[in-house]
Amino acid sequence: MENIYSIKGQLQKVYAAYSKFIDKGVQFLLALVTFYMINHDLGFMEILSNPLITLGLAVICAFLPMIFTVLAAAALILVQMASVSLGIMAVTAAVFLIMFVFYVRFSPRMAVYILLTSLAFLCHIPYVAAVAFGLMAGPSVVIPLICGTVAYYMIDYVETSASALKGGEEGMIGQLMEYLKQVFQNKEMIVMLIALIIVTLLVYQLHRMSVNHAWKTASAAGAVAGIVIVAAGSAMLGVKVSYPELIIGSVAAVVVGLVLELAFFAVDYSRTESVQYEDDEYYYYVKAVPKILVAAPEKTVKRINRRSAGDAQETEIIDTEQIRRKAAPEEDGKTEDEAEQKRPEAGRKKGGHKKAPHAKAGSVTGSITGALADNVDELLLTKRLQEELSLDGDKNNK
Amino acid sequence: MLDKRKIRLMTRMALYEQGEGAEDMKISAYYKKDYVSMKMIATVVWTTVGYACAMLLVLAWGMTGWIEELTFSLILMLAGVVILGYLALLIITLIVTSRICGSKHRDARMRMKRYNHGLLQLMKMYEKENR
Repeated sequence: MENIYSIKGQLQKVYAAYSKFIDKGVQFLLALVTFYMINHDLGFMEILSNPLITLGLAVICAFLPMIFTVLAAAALILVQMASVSLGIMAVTAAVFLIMFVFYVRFSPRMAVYILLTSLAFLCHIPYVAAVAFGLMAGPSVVIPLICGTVAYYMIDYVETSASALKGGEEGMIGQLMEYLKQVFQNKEMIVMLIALIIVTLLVYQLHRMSVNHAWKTASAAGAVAGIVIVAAGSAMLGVKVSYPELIIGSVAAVVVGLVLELAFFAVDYSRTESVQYEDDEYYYYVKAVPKILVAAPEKTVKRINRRSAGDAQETEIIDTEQIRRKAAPEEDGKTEDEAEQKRPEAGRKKGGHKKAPHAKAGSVTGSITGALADNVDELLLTKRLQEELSLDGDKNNK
Repeated sequence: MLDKRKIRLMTRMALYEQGEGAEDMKISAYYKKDYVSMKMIATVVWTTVGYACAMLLVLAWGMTGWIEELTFSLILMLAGVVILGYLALLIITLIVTSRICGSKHRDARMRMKRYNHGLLQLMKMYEKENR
């Protein structure tokens, strides 16, 4: 677990360093996924469904405020719908206009929640949106949630009945009426709206409670409540619901809830402290839960053998074998000289031993140790010389 | 020699200018009353457009059947409900607008005051440097 918090710390550092680029990247990805999903479901106009157009539009939106992405998505939906039926496009435009007039105009920053809700529906994971909004936003997020849900069901209807709408002989008014009836009397949409509103409010209330693991509890309770409400609603209103999709979506919602908790609410419940005190007017019962703060480990590379530029130039691979071969003839001639040079050295050492304090004293032990030391020196020297000579001899033989 | 206090102040002010400062400058260019009145006029226009759209949708939905069964008295009653609904909606939106825009203007003014105070401080620092 500590590793995860450490990774979180590292990610925070990276975000702090490159927040400008990361924000733009996220905005670009959101726009790209939104436009791709819209074109995937409503790809009636070939020019707009071109991946290059989608990419270009996403790039443009990445450099503009988020509200432009929402407006571009709405415009794309309208244009795609216009190629199916002008009446349907007019109704959709009227619905978008009502959303804009009564909600987006007052809080343009919340418009992104409409986009995210529709996107979650398009990805078949609507509960993820409900749980995430409940954890991250206030209860007022219910309004964009409703708007996003209605927008999705409008797209869904056009997607499923596009061929009937195109080839139908009902005329524009007939299509318009049928569209309104199918969208606003859609029992599945009503069930989903009720489920999402309840899940969002439930998650919001639970995650604010002063209990341990409130966020986990809220996510799990939200997912379970979603399954129960949709199952009950589908049974009561006779709506067909894909249960595997419902369960997978709920599991995804819990996973997203856990990830959000890790990112925004990392606390250590084992170190919870409770304090009680009072003033003139109130008694206070305070529960303090410490945050988990794990600093990202800083990697420092310590160079043990730091080499200067000069040393680095001197470094080269040496073939010892070759050097020995080259040195072998010279060694033969030099061995005698070296032996001569080393003998006086040994003699000096000999003299040194004679000058030792205990030798000077003329004691028996002193003379014995001195003699032994001389012998050892001589023996070592002889052995070394023999080794060298025999080695060279071997090399020459080879 | 770099003056840390001055750098901090300038950074804070530059961040504000690039962020919500731009909008705050526009808002605080008006008196509160003028700003709220302007927004309320816009709200009347937008609410009318939105309500008309909603009524058109209801009308289109009504064409599926139930509208044909309406009698004259019911139509009159329905028209009254529509007008009353419009007025009620208009009043609600106007109240919401005046509240939201009033607080928006107040907050913007407060931030602008802080910004102006920062500018004065900066000016004093420059004067001190020049002495």
